[in-house]
Amino acid sequence: MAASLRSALGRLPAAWRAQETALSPVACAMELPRILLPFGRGHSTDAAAARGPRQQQDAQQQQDAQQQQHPQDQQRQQPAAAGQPGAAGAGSQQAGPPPHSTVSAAEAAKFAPLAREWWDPKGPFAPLHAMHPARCGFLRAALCSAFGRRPGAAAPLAGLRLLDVGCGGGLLAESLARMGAHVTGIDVNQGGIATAEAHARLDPALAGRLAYRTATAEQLVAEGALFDAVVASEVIEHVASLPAFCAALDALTRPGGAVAISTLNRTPRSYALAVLAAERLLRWVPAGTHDWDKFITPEELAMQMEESTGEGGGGGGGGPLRLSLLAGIEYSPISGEWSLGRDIAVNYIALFTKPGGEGAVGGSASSTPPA
Amino acid sequence: MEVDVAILGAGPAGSALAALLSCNPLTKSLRIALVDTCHPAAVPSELPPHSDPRVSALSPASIELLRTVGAWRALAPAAAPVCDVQVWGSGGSGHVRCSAASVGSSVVACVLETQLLVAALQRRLRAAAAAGGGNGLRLLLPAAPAGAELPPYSPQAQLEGGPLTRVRLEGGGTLQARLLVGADGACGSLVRRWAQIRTLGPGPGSQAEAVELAATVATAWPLQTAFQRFLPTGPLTLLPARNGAAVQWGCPPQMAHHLAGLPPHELASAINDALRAPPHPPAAAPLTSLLGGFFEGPRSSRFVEPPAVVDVIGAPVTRRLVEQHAGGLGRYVRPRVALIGGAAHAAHPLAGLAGHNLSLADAKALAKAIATAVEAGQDIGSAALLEERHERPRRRTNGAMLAAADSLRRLLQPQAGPLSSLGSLGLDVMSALPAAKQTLMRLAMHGA
Repeated sequence: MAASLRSALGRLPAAWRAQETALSPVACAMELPRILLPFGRGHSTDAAAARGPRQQQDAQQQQDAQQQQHPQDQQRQQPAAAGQPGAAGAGSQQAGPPPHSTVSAAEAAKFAPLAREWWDPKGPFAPLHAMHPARCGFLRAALCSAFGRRPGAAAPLAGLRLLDVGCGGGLLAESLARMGAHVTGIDVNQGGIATAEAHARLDPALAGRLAYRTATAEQLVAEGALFDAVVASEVIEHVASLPAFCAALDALTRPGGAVAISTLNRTPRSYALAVLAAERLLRWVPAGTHDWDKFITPEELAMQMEESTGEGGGGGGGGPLRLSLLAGIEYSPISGEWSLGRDIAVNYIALFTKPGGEGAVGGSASSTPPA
Repeated sequence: MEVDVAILGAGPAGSALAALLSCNPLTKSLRIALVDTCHPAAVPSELPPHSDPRVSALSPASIELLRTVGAWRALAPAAAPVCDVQVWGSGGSGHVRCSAASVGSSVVACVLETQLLVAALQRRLRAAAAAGGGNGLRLLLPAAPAGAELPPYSPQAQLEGGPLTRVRLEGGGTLQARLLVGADGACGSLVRRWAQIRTLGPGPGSQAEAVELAATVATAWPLQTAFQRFLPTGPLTLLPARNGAAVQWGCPPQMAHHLAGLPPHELASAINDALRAPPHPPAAAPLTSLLGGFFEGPRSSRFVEPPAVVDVIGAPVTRRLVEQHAGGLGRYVRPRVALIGGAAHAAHPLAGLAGHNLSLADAKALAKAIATAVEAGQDIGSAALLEERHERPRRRTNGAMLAAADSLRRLLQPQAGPLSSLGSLGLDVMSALPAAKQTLMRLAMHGA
């Protein structure tokens, strides 16, 4: 599998590859299927030869499906637009609105191999699974403090409307929904969305509280959607334009709401770990994949967030998004566990809050779910 | 009926798990069903004058757990403290004696009747069920499970969690559960069978079959020491118990049934003979006698004569001991299935001393795993989660405990050939090194 991933990476158009910047080990693991997927469908003659017989069969089925669903082809033929998570200001609008078709059972079955990878705690997303509890711990505590909830309750986020930008296979969206929130997960990669939908169907308790869409943040802004809180986890280091992405997050957040962002810091240590260790020593990812220069420090993020949203012109209204909580996600090589801590030198997670609106009350527990 | 956690077996492990889940704010609102074929146990308003022969020695860690769930207050008056432990063999020389004081604790363990333990836990559960108004915890006592449909055990199902489990109850009714917990004991655990978790058979060197005889006895003087002597036929334990003492004697089936049929005074003298069979008292071990006073421990570690058993109260009971079938090797989890207590690792011949502690620690670990999952918004039936947070830590501890008990038995049970002297040497070293002894004590008291 790894070999086929690499061969697929090798075929990336040089221009797009340059655009595909700043991959952390975690983010890179997240990224690979997004990169792979547009290639797995469509241009499959030589790509199919590089894959196993099972995947060839899948590719064949995908082609068949493509022929049936012709209108979707256009969008799939544009990997550059489809592969860019968040795709803020990436000029992807010209690809037209992404499809909103419900996924058939046959469609879901096709994504089973991919679903296995997203949800395989030992697979390519292993680092993401490992840091997941720490990430959720922060979000639980931070969103509870922002909206005046009790973090000890079983479903502390009940009634809140959350948006997960760049949801991938739905790892975080499902967890947030289990905490009681009404979650909308968006991702521009249709494969990830199908995986997420298939996985969510396994748990009847999530029904009605979790929705996925193939969409960009900008599309939701254009629709005028508003959320109590917006989460962008391991996404911001991949966007083409940071100011535009921050503005989009702001526009999606109601006054009194919050934005949570987790990403990688730009420090010598993150260079040593994400670039030297992951690329050169451990060879988790091909050399040259990381662009450490595009990592964002918490200071830059906080300033950018205020700048993009400062003049009250943010689409969501209210004042600027200000940094209110910041924590490091630390990795202990001895126990192999990730935990929240003060060390923000490599991975960090931050909560930005917006003044105004209903204030700390937020969407109360009795508020109705989004239509 | 749809529930989040279905627990089969309302013994100490199952009841403790339900109690722990219902006292944690994170897991309180989970829908839990506790199913057992037994009728609910009630705490007697007045304790009978003498202890039931089925007792267990609860470690400080287990007592802490009972305090957490609010069951200890009712149990404390019936608990008999154990302040010292003395273990010796029947063939070689040497003994080990450790006191709670040497590890800075007031008690090594508290001896409690198993039925009281279950009754106190179930009383907490009834209170929790009443407080939840039938939403959170439900006690299905008695109800007999008739069959189950579990998610297929494939790598795919293991990763994705798969569909929910369904348990059919006799007389109609189905339980649909996110997580099915097997707490239904070592002998013929249904959940273990449904999940097709195989037993590994008797461990190396263990007796193929053993029966434990348990009796309540009166001793010449009250005791605060747990005495355990390893005889060629099996271990004989004399424990403090409420208003008296308890004897647990693991031996071959015929011998156990013969002993159980004896009149009280003959059984009493059989116990005395076994405790005092020559060599008595055990000679000083070679290393200790060679080095004289240098290695001779403090007064508290010298051999103490066990009190004579003067009478057997009530009828002795026998129970079959199931050899460990999982220990440190077997599986405890499947997608949407977790085993705790005897169902996971069976009882050991030293079950009376350690068995319930392991079960309660299993329950605590699983309750914590479930709470962690709820906190992080994960699926509580996910195999990866159960493996990481329940199976791996528990298998390590249970494996170590069972292995330690096994090696202690091998060390002390007389064996033919050159190994017998090795055994007494091992005992000698342990006796001579207070640090090793204290480490073992701490493991036994808090690790399990």
